[in-house]
Formats: sequence, structure tokens, C-alpha cells
Amino acid sequence: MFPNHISSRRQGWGELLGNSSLLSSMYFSCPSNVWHFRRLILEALNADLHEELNFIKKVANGNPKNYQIWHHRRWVAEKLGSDATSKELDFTKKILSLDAKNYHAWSHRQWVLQELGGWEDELDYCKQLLEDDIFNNSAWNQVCFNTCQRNTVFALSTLLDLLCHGFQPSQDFINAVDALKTPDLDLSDSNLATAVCSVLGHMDPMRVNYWAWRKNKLPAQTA
Amino acid sequence: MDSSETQSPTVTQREQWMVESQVFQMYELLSSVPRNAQSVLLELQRDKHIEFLTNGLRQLGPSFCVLDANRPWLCYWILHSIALLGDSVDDELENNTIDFLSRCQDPNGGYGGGPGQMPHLATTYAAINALITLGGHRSLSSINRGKVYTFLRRMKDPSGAFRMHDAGEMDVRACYTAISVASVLTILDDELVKGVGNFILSCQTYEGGISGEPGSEAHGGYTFCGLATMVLIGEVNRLDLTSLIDWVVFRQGVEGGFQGRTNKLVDGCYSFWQGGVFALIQKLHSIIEEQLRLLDAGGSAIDSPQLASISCHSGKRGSAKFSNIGFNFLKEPAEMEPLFHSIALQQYIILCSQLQEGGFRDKPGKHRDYYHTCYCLSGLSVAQYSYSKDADSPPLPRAVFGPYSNLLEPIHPLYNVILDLYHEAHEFFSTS
Repeated sequence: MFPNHISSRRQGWGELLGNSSLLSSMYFSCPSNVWHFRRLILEALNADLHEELNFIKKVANGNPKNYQIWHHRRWVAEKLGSDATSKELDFTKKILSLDAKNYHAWSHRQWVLQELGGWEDELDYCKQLLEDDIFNNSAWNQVCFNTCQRNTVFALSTLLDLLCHGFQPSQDFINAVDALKTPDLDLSDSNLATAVCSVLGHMDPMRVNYWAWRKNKLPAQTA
Repeated sequence: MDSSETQSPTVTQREQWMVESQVFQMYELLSSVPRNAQSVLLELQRDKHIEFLTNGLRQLGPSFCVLDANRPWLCYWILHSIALLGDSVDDELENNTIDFLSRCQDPNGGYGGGPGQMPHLATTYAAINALITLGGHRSLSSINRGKVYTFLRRMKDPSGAFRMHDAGEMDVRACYTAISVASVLTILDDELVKGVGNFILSCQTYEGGISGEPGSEAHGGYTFCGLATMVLIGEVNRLDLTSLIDWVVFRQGVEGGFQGRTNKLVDGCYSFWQGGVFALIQKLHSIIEEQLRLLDAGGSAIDSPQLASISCHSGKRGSAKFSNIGFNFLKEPAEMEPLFHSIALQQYIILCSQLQEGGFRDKPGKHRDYYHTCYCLSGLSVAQYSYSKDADSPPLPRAVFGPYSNLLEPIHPLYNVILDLYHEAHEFFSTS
């Protein structure tokens, strides 16, 4: 994965991260490669990723609709974890203040909420955007997102209770839960109830211990 | 609410009114000018477009900025547009393009944005569609299908979706580009297909359209990609087609063209992304009827054993199951009239997006570019053929806005390549 010739040029890497105009123009015109290379360097140098967020902010200013920049931002935020939550919510808010319907900004914001949290003020934020412009469909979609996410946990926990009481699930339920599985989940869960517990543990991290306990306590004949 | 209170218009309203006034000005212009000027405005400026397009292709020589990652896209947008206009490029340009695209091919499979660049699903889709559009043995045999397959497998995520490139973003666009390429090259199999349907289903929103990622807003580009992918993998019956239709019909505005999302502005490129959705819908008549019947009977629109059997693939195992879906789709007759206003769309494309000096644009006030030229022309073709029962039977004159000479070549709506060229490629890849 790591090109051999890079290791012999460590000294120059810091410069490569810098803000030279050549590199700036490369970032706009030659997407995948340059950003990919940058990520390798960031990892190798164990660079300060908060600084990186600032760098991305500058680059994103003139290019708020560039796929590569947003993907890079997501990569950095994922590495920083919940340390980045408020910064990411602020950043997307700023971009949305310039273009309240920026698709990338909304997707990123949803990703942050889902992975890192910060839901508390989201409905208020949507409310404010809708007060500014009731026709902002992206804000409406976000209201639904908010409601659906929260409701999914409720729906799944209801399903779990039903399964524990002997409910025989149809293929629709199995498919629906299947669609909620993420790569890091143990996919060998052949039975629906254990799969639901795994998904809940992921979607509702506050109660991860509770869902693990529920998984252990499943009645023997549960589907 | 106090009736004397007037609210100032929102951003959405202001922008919409501005566009409407510009568009209506252009329509009024048409009715106010003398007959001979009128016929100029209604005409597709073929020669000017070809000139604009051919210049664009010539510019992609060595002197073009080497860091541009868009070149395979430019090849596809330009070549496809030229082909839609019923024209072709000269041998030299053709050979140069084949050579260039070959050099974009990564030794481990897939095409990057330029020689030496990382392979990427979007540029792979563009390169392969461009090569199919050029047609001929040299072009088609330059594609290393085995390596493309390896690349697609590498881009496949355990969740079922695809990543655009190594450690890249995962979305409905990536799924479409991967599945479309695999299908047209007849290398689509269970390994590539598994889980894709679940991912796309999770992207159908409460509005009925499809988003890029689960939770995002319903969007024309992703709706086309999602719907086409579901057809190609034989799982289109799993989508709620009735609510998808309910969403997409309201995306055609007073201007005649399409918006990409609710309450956003019209844009010429959605002539294809949204218009193409209708072309696909027309051939899914039996599935839609079944879903409607279930809805009326009080059941869920997607819970029926009959639906599973109507879905587009046979029971064969392995890649044989998928390899003829694209081909057989064309044989489905278009049982329903188009659910959009075909003439209004054509009117928007010709009068508002077309530039007299060549090329097409998003809307009045924007600049022309090759992307919009490609998708405005693709959308125009879809609209012109929307009343044709069979994919390639020539439309009646009343189906074509402006003079009948405006008629373009028909396309295959799943891949957006010229129909004849698709058949040639299908023949080539099925037998080699």
C-alpha cells in the first residue's frame, strides 16, 4: 500500500503538506491521486489533524461542491472521532449559511450526526432554516432524517421485543434489518434477533452494554 | 395568521422567479419574432454543435493540462453528443482517443483520469462508454475485461455498495457506474450484485426519489442511477415505484425542464437524469401495475410473490442470469404513454439550453459546457422517442419539437449509449 520510494524522502513531506500554489491547483484539478497521496503523508507523519481541518476549510471555501474535498474531510473527521464533532457541525453550518442546500454539506452533516453524535440542537437548527426559507427542501429532509433515525432505534427495539415473544418475521423484516448492517458488524449473525441486537448496539451507542446484555439473554427459540 | 402581514419572499422564491422570468422572456421572444427567425430558433444547430464538440476533442491532446482528471469524461460527453447528432469523428481523432484511453487503463484494472492516475469508477464508466461510442474492433478489444472485473471486485464494499476508488466515497453513483460497466461488458455476477439492492433501497427517501447516501435528499442524478442499477440487477420490483413516480413527475416545472430536487432550479442536465427515469418507467409497466393493484388491495406495494416473478431476470445461475437484462429490457414494449410532458421538455432544451453558436447550457445566463451538451442532447433524444413503442422505431413528426430534422439517434436508457452502438458492443462482448 505504501510506495517504496516515499520512505526515502521523509524530510520533504512537511513541505508537501504546505499551501503552495502549485499544490493548490493540483488539488482542484487532479482529484483522487493528490488527496490520496496527502492522506498517506498525513498518516506517515502522524500530522495534527485539527490543522488539517483548517487547511480543508480554506480549500473548500472556493470549492464547496468538490467531491474530493468532502471525502477527505470525512476521512479526517473519522480519524479524530468525537473530538471533531462540534468543529464539523460548525463547518457544515458555515457552508450552509452560504448555500442552504449544498448537497455535500448536508450529507457530511448527517454522517457526523450518525457517527459522532451532536443531535441535541439539530431540530432547532432545521427550524431556524425553515423560518428563513420555508421552501428549503434540504432542511425538511433533515427534519425527517432526525425523526427517522431516532425512530429506527424505537422500531428495532419493538421488533426485538416481538421476536422474543415468538413473532415469526417475514422476509421484509429480514431484508430491512439486513440493510441496516454495517461492515464492522459480525455478519455471521444468522438469526434475526441477534442481528437486531448488533445493529442496535451500533445505532444506539449510549446503550451499547444494554443491547449486548439483551443479545446474551435472548430466549432459545427466537427467530 | 394576520392577513395584513406580508412576508418577504424567501431565497428559494426569489431565485425561482428570476429564472422563470428569464425563461418566459425566451418563450415570448419566439412568439414575437417573424416566421423565418422563428424557424431558426426552433432548429437544432447541428453544424455549430459539431464544431464546438470536435474542437473540444482536439484540445485533449498532449498540450491539455496534464493534471486534469476529467479527460475520460470529456471523451464520453463529446463523443456521445456527436453520435447523438448522427455524426462521427475522423480516423485520426478516433485512434488518438483509443490510444489515450488505453493509457488511462491501470495495470491492475479500471481507468483513471489520465495516464498514471488512480483508477476510479466514474472515469472507468466514462472511458468504457466512450470506447463503446467509438465502436469497432480496435476500440472494443482495447478493454481488458478481466482486469475491469478485478477492479470492480476491489471497489466492492462488504456492505454491498461500491466505493468510487480505493478508500473512496460510497454512494449510489458508485453503484451505478460499477453495475453499468459490468453489465455492458457482460461480466456482472452474483458477487458484484449482492447487497447492492439493499443499499439502493435504503436510499429511497420519504419523498419517493433516491438519494446519494441513506438519509440524504432525493435527487435526480441519484434517482436515475439507483433505478437503472435496480433494473440491471433484476431487483427493480423492490423499489416503491409508485412513490418514485409521484416524486419525479413533480420535478418538471413551469419552464418545461426538470429540477434536480424539490424547490430547486431547473437545469438542462436533468433533461436526461429525470427524463431518463421516465424512459425506464415506461418499460416497467407490469411491475408498476402489480404494485398499484397491491396498494388498492390495502397491502404493501412491495410485498408480493408475483412481483418477484415479474422481475427481470431468469432463474439461471452465475453471470448468465444478468448478462441479458440490458438486452432484454429493450424488448419490453413501452406500454404506457410518457408520464412527463415531452414537448415542453424539448422546448426548454431547444429554446433555453441550446446556444445558437453551438453547445448547451444549464439555463439562460450560464455558460455552455460539454457536460450539459451531453445530457441536454441525451434528454432530447429520450423525449423525442418517448412516444415510440419500440426502442428504435422512428417517432411520428408530432413527437418531435421543431422541424423533424431535429430528430436525434435513439439511446439505450440504462447505459446512455447510442442504441446501435450498444448492440454492436453487446454482440462483441457476448461472443468473445
